[in-house]
Amino acid sequence: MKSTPSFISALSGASSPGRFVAIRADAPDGGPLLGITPKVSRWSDSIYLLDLAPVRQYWSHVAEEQGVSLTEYLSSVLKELFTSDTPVTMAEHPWQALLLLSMTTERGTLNFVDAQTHLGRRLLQDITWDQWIERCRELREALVSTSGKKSGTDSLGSLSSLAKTINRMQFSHIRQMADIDAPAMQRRFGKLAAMAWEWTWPSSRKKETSVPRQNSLIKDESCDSLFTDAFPWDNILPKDLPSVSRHIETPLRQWDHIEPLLCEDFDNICNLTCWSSHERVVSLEWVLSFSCSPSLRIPVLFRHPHALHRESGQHKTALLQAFHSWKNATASRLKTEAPGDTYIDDDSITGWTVTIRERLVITPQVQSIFRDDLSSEASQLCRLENSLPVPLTRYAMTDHWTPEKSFAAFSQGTPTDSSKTISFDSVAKLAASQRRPLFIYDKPQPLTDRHQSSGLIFCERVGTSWWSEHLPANTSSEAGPCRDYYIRMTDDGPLQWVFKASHSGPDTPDNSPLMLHGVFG
Amino acid sequence: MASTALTTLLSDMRIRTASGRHSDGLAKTHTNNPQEVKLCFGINALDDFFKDSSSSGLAFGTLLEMGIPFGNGGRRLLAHLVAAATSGLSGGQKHWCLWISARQRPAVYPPAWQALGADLNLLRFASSASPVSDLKAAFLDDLFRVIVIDHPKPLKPDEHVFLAQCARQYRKIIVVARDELLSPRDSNTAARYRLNVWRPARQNILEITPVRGLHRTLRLSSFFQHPNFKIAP
Repeated sequence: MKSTPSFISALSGASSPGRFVAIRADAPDGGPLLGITPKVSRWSDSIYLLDLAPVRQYWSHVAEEQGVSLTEYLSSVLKELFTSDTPVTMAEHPWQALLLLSMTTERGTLNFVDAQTHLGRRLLQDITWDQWIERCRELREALVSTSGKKSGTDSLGSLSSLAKTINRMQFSHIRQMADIDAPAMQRRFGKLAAMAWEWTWPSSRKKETSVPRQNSLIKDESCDSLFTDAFPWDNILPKDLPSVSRHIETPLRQWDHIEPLLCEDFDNICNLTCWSSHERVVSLEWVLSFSCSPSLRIPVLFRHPHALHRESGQHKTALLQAFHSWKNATASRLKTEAPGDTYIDDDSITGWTVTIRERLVITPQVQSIFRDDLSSEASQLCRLENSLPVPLTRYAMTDHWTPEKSFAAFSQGTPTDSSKTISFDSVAKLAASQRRPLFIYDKPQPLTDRHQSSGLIFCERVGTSWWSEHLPANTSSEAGPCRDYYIRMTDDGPLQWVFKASHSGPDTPDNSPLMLHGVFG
Repeated sequence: MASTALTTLLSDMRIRTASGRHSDGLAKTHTNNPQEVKLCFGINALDDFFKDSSSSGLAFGTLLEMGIPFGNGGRRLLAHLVAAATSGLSGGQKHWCLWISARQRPAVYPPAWQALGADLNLLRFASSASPVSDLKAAFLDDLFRVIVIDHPKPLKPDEHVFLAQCARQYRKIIVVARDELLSPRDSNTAARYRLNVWRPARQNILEITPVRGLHRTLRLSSFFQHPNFKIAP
């Protein structure tokens, strides 16, 4: 598992693996792919899309245990599940993964490409207009089939007019029009072309005035964000969803009374024959029925795929997550209570249904390949994270030099592992960080402080990426080629980390206001 | 109300002790050791400050309450503790650490923690306004051996009792850092040590004044002049 065969040679340079995987494989009804993630969508007869968001952290742990990156681990697993020449691509958006897949299939020699590698970016730029328009036609069909009616797609615009224009202009590759932004595409060729254009070139969403917001590129890890996006994602569901129902004769209101019955139902679910004991639960749905108000749907999510069978009889983890979800759902139900609905407070639970909505379907084929037995500490951490109502955040360093971009939360991807290679830059960054505060503001803010300053101590000068950042007008004071950072000592207040935007040389007087960026805890 | 909550928390602990593997294993490991296991900050003066008849450093199994007005640089001492624990600086053994903050802004700046020597792989951050109830499972688990609760407001007395019991039971160091300076009047008998960390006006020093458990005052040169700062290996 630790070796990196030629199969994954195209992965070098990827700092953070993409969220979506596109694979050309023979996997009827999802097959072994449902053992990797519960979110699998079928794009065509042989192309499948995988959304790794709900399981990314878990597989990252597993990959870390194996001493490889998440991308390398997944590529090895997919290679073993299918064949070594199975085309697989990864990207932050399913559309990019699909475009890359068409390129790798055409070239034939590439098997696993990540859109965030140099090769991946280059391949995306090499896509021809014919390929792009062909994928757009597939997109239109997918939109029609997922919406189930054709009427709504008339407004998507005409792809033939786009093809004619491209022919007339004698353009061959889409990169030749990379400067065009999405609103301009929408004005000329309709909504479908604009959507696909924006997914292809995320930076094309420069002007947000006329582009519909639902087309925004997925930035966060929220699973639902994809479905507010216009991308036609049609989840493959396992044949049977394990489910148990309970009718309660003596209505309940308190958790102490609910807990033992729910534990019993988790045991009942474990005994169902429609799923095996190896399968892992990613999310449950708990629908509560009340005596006088509408039913309440409570999603119970696990941060890592949870082995329900392993806790038979106790179900401590599932009960804790159910309790936290129940508490939050009840609180928000009371908040949204209409003025006349005073009955909610007195309402009692008369029954419920527990359904396993998402799970990793571990078939024998998958089971033989997955070595997901984590070390005791890693599995202890996974179990603990599954029991807590709040996430535990892990940070890692990134390769950026500006303070606010020099780190990333692990849940937002897999940042560069600085421990593997300590470059001169890393050492210099560590040395600089010794003089930096333990706490910073994500966005610098103008200093409005009542404490009297007893002096500024110069710390360092940091360059900004002024050539690529588009700062809003009201933050012009932080714009500039560099920032001069100081420790601001106050008589009785906090030690602050402030900076002045430096527009000129050190001998030129600069009247830029002080911006507060951090506090020395 | 408070007593009910306390009863629930303590009964949780009893159940865990009776059935869980952690307490059994740990209790044996630690009670058989005649010498108290300690964790050093890596700052000699501070380690000697906690020195008793046996050795320097802060003993595992301790609940420490600190009054550190936010922004005076005193939390850097706690960052040193976290760095020492995660890097194995003290005793060669690496420990998992958890930093719970009730403050949303400003957020932590991890490179500064790493520069102090903290191993970010063994350090987790959580944000919660009710740290004891939300993170109860973490206190009742032996994974995190050092837990810092950075909480602006005082915790309830029964929460302190619960934390002290967890610290003893699971041999953890639990630190509660508050924004206000502590007073002997708000007596918290659950904490082994109660300390105030403050910075005298116009001086670049940190003064550590004991309220409970220790007797002398310590003056440390503040963070950016301290000779112990060095690049992590």
